[in-house]
Amino acid sequence: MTTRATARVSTRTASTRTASTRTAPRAGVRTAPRPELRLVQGVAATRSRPRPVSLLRHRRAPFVLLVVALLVGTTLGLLVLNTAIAVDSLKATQLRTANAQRVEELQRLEQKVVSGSTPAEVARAAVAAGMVPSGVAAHLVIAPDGSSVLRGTPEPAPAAAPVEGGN
Amino acid sequence: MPTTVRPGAFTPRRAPGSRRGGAGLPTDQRGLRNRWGLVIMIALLVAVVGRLAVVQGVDGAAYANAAEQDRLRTYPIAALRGAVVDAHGNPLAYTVAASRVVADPTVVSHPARTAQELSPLLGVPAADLTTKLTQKGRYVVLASKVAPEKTDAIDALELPGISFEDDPVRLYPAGAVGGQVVGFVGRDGAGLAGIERKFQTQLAGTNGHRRVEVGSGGNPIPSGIDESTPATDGDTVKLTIDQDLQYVTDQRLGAACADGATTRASAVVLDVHTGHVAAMGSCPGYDPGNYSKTDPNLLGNPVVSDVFEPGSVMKGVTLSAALEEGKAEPDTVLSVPGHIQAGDKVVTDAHDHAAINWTVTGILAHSSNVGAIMLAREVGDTTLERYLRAFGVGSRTGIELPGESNGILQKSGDWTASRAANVPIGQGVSVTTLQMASIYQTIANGGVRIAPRIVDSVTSPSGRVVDAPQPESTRVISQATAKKMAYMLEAVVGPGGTAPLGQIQGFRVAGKTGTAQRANPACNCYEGGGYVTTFVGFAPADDPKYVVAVDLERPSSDAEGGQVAAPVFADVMRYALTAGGVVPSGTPRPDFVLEKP
Repeated sequence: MTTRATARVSTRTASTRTASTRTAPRAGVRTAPRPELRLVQGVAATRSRPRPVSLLRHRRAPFVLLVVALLVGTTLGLLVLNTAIAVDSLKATQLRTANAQRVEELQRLEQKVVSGSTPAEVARAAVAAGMVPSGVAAHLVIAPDGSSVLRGTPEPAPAAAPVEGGN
Repeated sequence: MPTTVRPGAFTPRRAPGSRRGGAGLPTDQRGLRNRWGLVIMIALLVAVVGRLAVVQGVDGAAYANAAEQDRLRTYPIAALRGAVVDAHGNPLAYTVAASRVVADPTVVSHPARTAQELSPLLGVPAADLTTKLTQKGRYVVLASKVAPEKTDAIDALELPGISFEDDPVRLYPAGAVGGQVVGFVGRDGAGLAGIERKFQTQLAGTNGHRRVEVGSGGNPIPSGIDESTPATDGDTVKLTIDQDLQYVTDQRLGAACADGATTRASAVVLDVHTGHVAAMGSCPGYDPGNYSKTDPNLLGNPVVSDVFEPGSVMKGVTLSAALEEGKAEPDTVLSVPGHIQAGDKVVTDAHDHAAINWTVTGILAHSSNVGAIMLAREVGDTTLERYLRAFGVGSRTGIELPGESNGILQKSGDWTASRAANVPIGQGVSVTTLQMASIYQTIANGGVRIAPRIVDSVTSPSGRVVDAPQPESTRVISQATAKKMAYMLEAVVGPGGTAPLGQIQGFRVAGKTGTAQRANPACNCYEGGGYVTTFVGFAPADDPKYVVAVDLERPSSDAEGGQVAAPVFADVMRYALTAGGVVPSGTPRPDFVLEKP
């Protein structure tokens, strides 16, 4: 214990002396004389040797590589995801447009069906086809025993009026 | 030897103690300067922090709102108005999507070229479009109700400053068929007449909206806010109307109006057992899709809103009261003179005659005014009024149509002697065509009156069906009286009756004619008013399915109901029976005793 303590004091003293030697030109400012500086042997036995720089680099390399890999991976992942989202968005837009067109087509066809099935249109088409309005219908009522009874008076339909433009 | 100090990396370039601005200042002045500096710095800090607090805390909401308003646009999403369909689901009115093409003239770069490209698609002259595209302001409507395929074509042109807004179109595919029942909507899409008006709340639905984040040019930012609150479409109103029967009715009324003497013709068809209106129309009618080109006075529904004195069809009520009160039977014989004194007036039959021994059936078949007045006097005014009101005269039926009239029926206590003689024969009392039909529905339905209804159900867009409430059902006369009335009314269209033209081959028909003086609106008197001719009947008489009421307004003709209204009745009823698949019973018409020696 004593030896180590002595050595530490000695070291400090040596350092102080060295500094005094360097700042000698400013000695005039100070009034107290400094002790004479001298060279002493270093304290290599008590300090670990500094690690070589290359070794440090080698030990940090995996971490750096990991960070770089993560950055690259994240960037690529984001790129892929963004691309996929963009592609899906484009597809969705195309499908939405196609759907809207189908809806419009459906609406057009429904309108056509509705306007073509109005009584006035059906009557016009029937007359054009040479049909005539029916009179009162006569009915054949079938009894449980299979016999039938005629109800009403059947009449032949009147002749169709000549269609304009026909032969 | 003086030591020379060379400037190095850690050597100050100024001599020690020679600091800028402070060199040589006394300590107290240096402290003062530092304090002022501190004060200024604190003041600046307080100002900045205070402003920050004001901007963030006090005005923050307003700034945030302004920023939001600046970059967010809200567009309405129009709800599609519900459809009006007939009893079989055929659309009488429905709405399709369309667009309003609008422009922001400040964004349109080439107005003339844009107008040239839009003109053929919008059907608007290019000059008009150019004028609109060059006017001041940031909003101008170029065209309304544009079909989707045209908006797609315009959209494909990618013209700057052109955009679209929802502008649905209301379509009435059947045109004028049932037009007065369905009604129409105004430019703002709100119902103004008929079912469109009565069911405005249910049909309209609820508009939605879309909030979009836009850039400086007003175009949506692809990845920005795009929120939509969908619109809720309107309900579908299902009527009891049969579109085909309605078409036939309208066609027949149109033919009646084309005879040169009829200025107005109305008809209604009721289902006897449900009170449902199967057809209802008037001539002249109108096309709801083109109502703006129709005389505004013709945009109502005369079947429920116009009242008239029905004439002899009211004898159905008078004789029902007499039978129900036990004052007469169908074969009761009365000696009926050709005229009768009523206060200061004399009421005659259609043709004055000597006293005839008519049965009550004969009185109805010959439509004797004198005989009906004699029976009414047996019943009494108060009792007759009670029956009239029980049959629905003088009060609304409550049908789901706007503008229904009460009709006119004075209290019996206010009747003069002449009024007391007129009411039993259908003068001095006014009804609508629907009320007239309802009277005979009561008789045909075994004496039970069912208030007429024209709406079957209302269906929400989600498919939830709400049936219309059951109409009021009231017994007015006994079943036995109703049966006797049906028997007597059958005599009207039989041999010796006033309406042989009301017969339908193969079916037994019961009905009553009416020919009443029409009040002349010019003088508020009967002079020059012409006549209202009516016919109401039901068939088959032995198992009634339908009631048809017809009235024709003929200011310049004295033709009777049996001549002009009965044929219209027969044509409409014939179609109703045939299309309804009604099978005749095959039983022969009974022999009627109309007159006794």
